[in-house]
Amino acid sequence: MSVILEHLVIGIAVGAVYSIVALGFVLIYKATGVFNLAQGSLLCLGAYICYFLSITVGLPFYVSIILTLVVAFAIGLLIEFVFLRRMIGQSHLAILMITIGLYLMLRGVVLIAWGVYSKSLPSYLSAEPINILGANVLPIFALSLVAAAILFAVFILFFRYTSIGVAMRATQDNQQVAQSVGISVKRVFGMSWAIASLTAAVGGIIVGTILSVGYSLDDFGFKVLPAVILGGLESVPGALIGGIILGVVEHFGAAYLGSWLIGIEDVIPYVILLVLLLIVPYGIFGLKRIERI
Amino acid sequence: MHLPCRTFNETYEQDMAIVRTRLQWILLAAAIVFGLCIPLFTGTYMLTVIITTMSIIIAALGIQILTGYCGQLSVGHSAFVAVGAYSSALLVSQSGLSFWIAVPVAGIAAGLVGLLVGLTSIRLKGFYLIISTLAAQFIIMYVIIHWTSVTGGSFGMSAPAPKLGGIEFATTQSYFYIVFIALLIATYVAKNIVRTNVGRAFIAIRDNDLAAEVMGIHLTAYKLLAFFIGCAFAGIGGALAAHARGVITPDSYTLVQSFWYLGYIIIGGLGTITGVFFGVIFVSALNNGLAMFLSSLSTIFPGAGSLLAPLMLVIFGLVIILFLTFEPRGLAHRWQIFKAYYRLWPFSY
Amino acid sequence: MVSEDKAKLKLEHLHLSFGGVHALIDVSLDVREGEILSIIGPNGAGKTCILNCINGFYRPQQGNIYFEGRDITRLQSHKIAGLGIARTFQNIELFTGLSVQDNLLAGRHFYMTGGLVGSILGGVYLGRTHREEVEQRRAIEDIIDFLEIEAIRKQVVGTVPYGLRKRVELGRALALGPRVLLMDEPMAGMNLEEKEDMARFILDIYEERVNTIVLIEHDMGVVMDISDRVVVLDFGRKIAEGKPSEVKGNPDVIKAYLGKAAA
Repeated sequence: MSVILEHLVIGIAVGAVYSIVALGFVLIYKATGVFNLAQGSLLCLGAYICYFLSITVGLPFYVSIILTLVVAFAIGLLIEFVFLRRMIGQSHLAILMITIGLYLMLRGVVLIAWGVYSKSLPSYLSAEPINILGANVLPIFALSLVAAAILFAVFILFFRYTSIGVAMRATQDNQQVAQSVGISVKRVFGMSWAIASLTAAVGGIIVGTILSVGYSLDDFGFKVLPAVILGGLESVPGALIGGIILGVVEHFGAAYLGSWLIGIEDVIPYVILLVLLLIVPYGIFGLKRIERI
Repeated sequence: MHLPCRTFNETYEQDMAIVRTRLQWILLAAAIVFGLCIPLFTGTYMLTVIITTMSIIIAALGIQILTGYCGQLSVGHSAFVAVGAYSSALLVSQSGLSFWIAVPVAGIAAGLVGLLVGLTSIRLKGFYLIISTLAAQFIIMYVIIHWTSVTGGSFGMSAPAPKLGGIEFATTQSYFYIVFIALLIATYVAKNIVRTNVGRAFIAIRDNDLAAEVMGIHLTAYKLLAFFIGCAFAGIGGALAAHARGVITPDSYTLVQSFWYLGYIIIGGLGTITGVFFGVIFVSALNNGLAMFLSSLSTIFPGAGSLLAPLMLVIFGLVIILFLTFEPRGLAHRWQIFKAYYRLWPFSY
Repeated sequence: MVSEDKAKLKLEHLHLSFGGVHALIDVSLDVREGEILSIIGPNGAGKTCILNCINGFYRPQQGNIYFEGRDITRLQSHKIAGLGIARTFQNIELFTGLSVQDNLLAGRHFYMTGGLVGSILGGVYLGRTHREEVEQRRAIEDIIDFLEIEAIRKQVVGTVPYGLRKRVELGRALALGPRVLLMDEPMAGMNLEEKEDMARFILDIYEERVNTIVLIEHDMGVVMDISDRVVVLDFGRKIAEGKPSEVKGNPDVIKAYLGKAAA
């Protein structure tokens, strides 16, 4: 019993990390209708920037975290301005392909700047496990739970109550109409990329601490896709729940099947997702659109 | 399509023909003869590059049909290429089957796996469909990497050179002809599929699936057919490339590779067969040009050669973005403009 | 010409709802062989929903639809099309990447039986598929000629102006060789001249090609002129049915269109 509970707690903690990454994905989709396949690249870039500031430059770790978030925000704005601004109003498929281009480019940039060998972030948290509900969990996971809780609370309130949050929802629904009622679609695009990049950087710092900082961190963007789809593409709470389900499923898969099938945890989410999508094609929290003709 | 001066279509047959004028026939024949002569004047290295490029074109014709024509976005194309490569290699090296049977069988095998993945397309559309092809990419590669007893895991396995009668096509020169003829057949088949009834149904589904259904097109059947054809091309391309190299490893079939396939058809132009040729050849030329440039640079800056892969990623990503932004119809469209200009030259307008 | 007893298309007690919204409530109607039937009603009355149900695009929760005596309620859309029910759409739904001619050929889909193997070999100057393509080409050229769109035959539909696109869509529906033609607002957004052209085409089609037509239209002048019978819908219910002259005077209809005070 306690073993299962322990797996569950660890699964939820890992899931919290996934849900943070999924959040950035949902943010961009919710605001701009862009299915951003480069979300993982933003995460990877965030982790490397943190590495650069804290190790290469030698800033105190907490200063470098804050600076990383600022830089990530700026990078989000910059990427939107340079690569996506011209695509406003284009088909969603074309913009999706742009994000594929971005993914390839950013991976190349990271490889040129930092090479193929992975780096480690400074160990700012003790490696001594702490006890949550009878399960021994590394402090970093506890921290990620807290970070996830804060980020989600902020964004649920953000979309519901702030004017830019509402503007983002309107833009996703129909860019032209949003523009006609005085919403600056450009600003919405810029903001959503900036915020998504920021959340990705938070995810990057956490993942970089748990694992290490390497170029293949950008695969996290694809790893959380099952969580995003499971939660429904445009649902913020859905991203949280999807992320946690993903974490738990993956952890249990590794714990109980991993000894026979090495690495099975990497594909289990996809297998489950495929089966699930065939039953609930729009995710658990997604909106079913009635097609008109 | 505009015809040259003094050429008129008098029958529907003439109007439907691909190769219409005598000049076009001559050019086509000349191109084929030129192609057949390529091994006579190129070195082995160059020939290997050309063979690889041709087999990529065959596989890319598949994603063009599936994504460019039928509109079913696939981000797992290289996994289907892998299915073809591994099936063929297994059939030849383990079961001792002849290469000539193994390659088509590999195509069918990849097509059937594609069909399985395509089943999800019955209920899923657009972004949600990406997930199923992405899942296919990860799951297929998981199986290949971890089924070590059969596939050799990450060390890979060998794919022997083909034999016909007593002749072994072990040399690059002789293998070139196999791939060249395969490419001719593949192009012919692809072109005919897309310009007849089946192709029209694909485009109808891409442009307006609801209307297509109301006009009597069986959505499920045609989507599955597109998956089968697209993945079968991938499988054959993969099998041909595998036997050319002699050794296959899983790292040639990553997600990034799948993105490259998408990139080929974006650069060449979605929904055109010529575009596939333009896209693949353009990228291949870029890649090899860059490789040569960096290797010449490495005499001055040692280690410049190791920059090739990441630099190529940056350039390729950038080129995709530039094409999407400035020429979404790809190189094929530029070619059309050029042809229209040249047809009337020197009396344009 | 209209035979009173023979219902080509019969809708019985259709109920259709989306969540809590009732789109159609107990709608029954007959489309008789050899008539032009117009369905009118204010926006949101459920007119298009009826066509969508006939097409199998929406599934009614209750009720049945019969075509020539056969129950088609649960049939898949493409099979319904195969039985000979073609339609046009309110917001033109063409295959924008295909040329005008290919759009029409796509409408001939049912007449081509060559399949994949046929398609692959179709380029050889023999073989069934090739003959088929030529044959169907001839068939659609006839329609192109009829609708006077020869000049734009090879143009990609995306570049064709609105009024002509409506005509191409009509051509695609005709290419199906239908026995019933459903038209959803064929004159929406047209100027007077274009409307007259379209009315002429509809009458010509009725005379020469398809003798049973269901029309949804807002232009009352056109409706009253060309229809044999009119069905009026309001909030998903059928409120009147009859000859144009009868419907025109019906107090319920006037109320639906002009509001309570006018009645």
